[in-house]
Amino acid sequence: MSKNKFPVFIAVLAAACLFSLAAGPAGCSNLDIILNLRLPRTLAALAVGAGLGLAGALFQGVLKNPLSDPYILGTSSGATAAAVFCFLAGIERTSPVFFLSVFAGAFGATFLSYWLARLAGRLSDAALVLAGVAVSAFLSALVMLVLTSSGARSFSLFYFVLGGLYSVQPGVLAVSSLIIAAAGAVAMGRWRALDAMALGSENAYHLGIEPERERILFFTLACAATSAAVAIGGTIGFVGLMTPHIVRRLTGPSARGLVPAAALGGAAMLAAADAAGRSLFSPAEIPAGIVMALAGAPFFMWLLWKSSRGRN
Amino acid sequence: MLVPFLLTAAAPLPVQARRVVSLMPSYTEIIFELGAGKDLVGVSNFCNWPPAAAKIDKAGDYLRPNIEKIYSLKPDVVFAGAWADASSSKQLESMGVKVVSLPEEKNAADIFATVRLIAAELGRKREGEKLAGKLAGMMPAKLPDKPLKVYLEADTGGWTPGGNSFLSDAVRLAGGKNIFGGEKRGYFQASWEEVLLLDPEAVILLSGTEEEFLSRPMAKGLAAAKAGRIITGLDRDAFSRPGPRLFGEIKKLAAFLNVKK
Repeated sequence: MSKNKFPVFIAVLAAACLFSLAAGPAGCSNLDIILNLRLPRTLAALAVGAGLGLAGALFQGVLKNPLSDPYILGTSSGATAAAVFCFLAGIERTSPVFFLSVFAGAFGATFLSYWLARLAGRLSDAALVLAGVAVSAFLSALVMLVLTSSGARSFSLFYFVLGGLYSVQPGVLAVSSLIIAAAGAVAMGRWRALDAMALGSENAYHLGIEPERERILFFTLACAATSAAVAIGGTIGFVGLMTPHIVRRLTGPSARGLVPAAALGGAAMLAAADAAGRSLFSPAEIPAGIVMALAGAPFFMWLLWKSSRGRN
Repeated sequence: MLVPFLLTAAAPLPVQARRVVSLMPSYTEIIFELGAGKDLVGVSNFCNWPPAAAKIDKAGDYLRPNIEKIYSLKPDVVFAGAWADASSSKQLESMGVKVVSLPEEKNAADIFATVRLIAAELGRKREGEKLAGKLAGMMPAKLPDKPLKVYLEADTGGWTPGGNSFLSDAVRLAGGKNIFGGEKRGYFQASWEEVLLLDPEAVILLSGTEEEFLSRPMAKGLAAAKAGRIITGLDRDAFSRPGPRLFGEIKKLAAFLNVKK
């Protein structure tokens, strides 16, 4: 990230945090509520947003596809499906088995989408989006089937599938934050490889990068970040799609600035979205997943429209 | 298409050998209480009470009735909620099946009205009056001057009834006051911060555990937690259905709320 842009991201992030800490029916004077309630929730929103923003930037970079993000590619659905199966199997949300399963779900679904899209030969934007939609739709249907036939606990699981930060377990938040931070650090250390891959596999190869190996590495990092985010807040879409596009206008295309900026931007975006969701319709709250879909779906349409115009 | 519909709508039901389908668990329970359980040939997927109801053919549920199944059961009358899919009831009526859409119950009085409507439809008016009277007699005679502030969480994650609901009325009849009773909406996800601000003196959990509830931020500081009034002992099905069993649960809840600490 060029040095003069860095303060912009910090300022936006700080503004989002302030909004998240200040918004709520209790106003700004109740320190107990700010510290014990809004602070943990803000931290959760920051972690989830950073994880999804990071994953979005990595997917878009590796796949050279502006429409990819963990939600579109089926990564989130894979993680959510695995999480729901873990809940029903009675696996604790803080156990390593839970995190491993959620990661496996994310990775499996992403690779399935990627493999399906590659079947057509050259990897096209449309094929990847279609494959992702097919995989997501199938997994979501599977989750709904399991939930509608599973009885008593299903309502809170429906809520998890919707995506939101109503109840965050400190243990889950801590482990997930570590995973996201580690994935971010490794990805930032390899920004050159990501930039080289943006030039195409052959060029990357000539620059001393092994595209296949790097692709798997970045997929792994993106899936780890996504699954950690899903473990906290369920399926929250569009953060990973929108943030790289927005921050790219400030950082330029190089992964060196783009990857950290996408993580910061995603964190700021979700903190603001969650704060809006829990304060606009008080005393009711709107899950952050719904707020993001309201903002993100039109953005996706705009991207599709833009990319179709670019081709003609 | 209209002729068979008009004919069935106009024809009085025979008193004996009636074939009845109920698409709501509460209707099924009422029909059994009226002594007409043996007339039921189809019930909803959610009907599990009384135990005999679980053995009756399943005919979908109030949101998605299984039209073919219902038709094949050849019912004389189908009891559906007013909020059931209107096109399904039209479809059934056009096939010559009589559908009675009962209005949604928003308080105890509405439940008695439903009991009387079903009873009248089944030719059991006297039993209906008896049942309504018995249920009304189960309600606590005197409500406290200063009811306890109650937060009722029906589903984990803050899902709670607003004022326009029989659940809110049940809390009132048990001697409590729903903290979200002023909300016009029926069922919504309440913000946890709002719950903390309203500081309920009693909490009713219909799903989830006391342990999970107390692990939420600042939950231990609630008046309800300090007074030890986190109530998990209600029967979820019985309390969340506008049927006869609700009144036994109201009595139970009144006892929970009256414990002096």
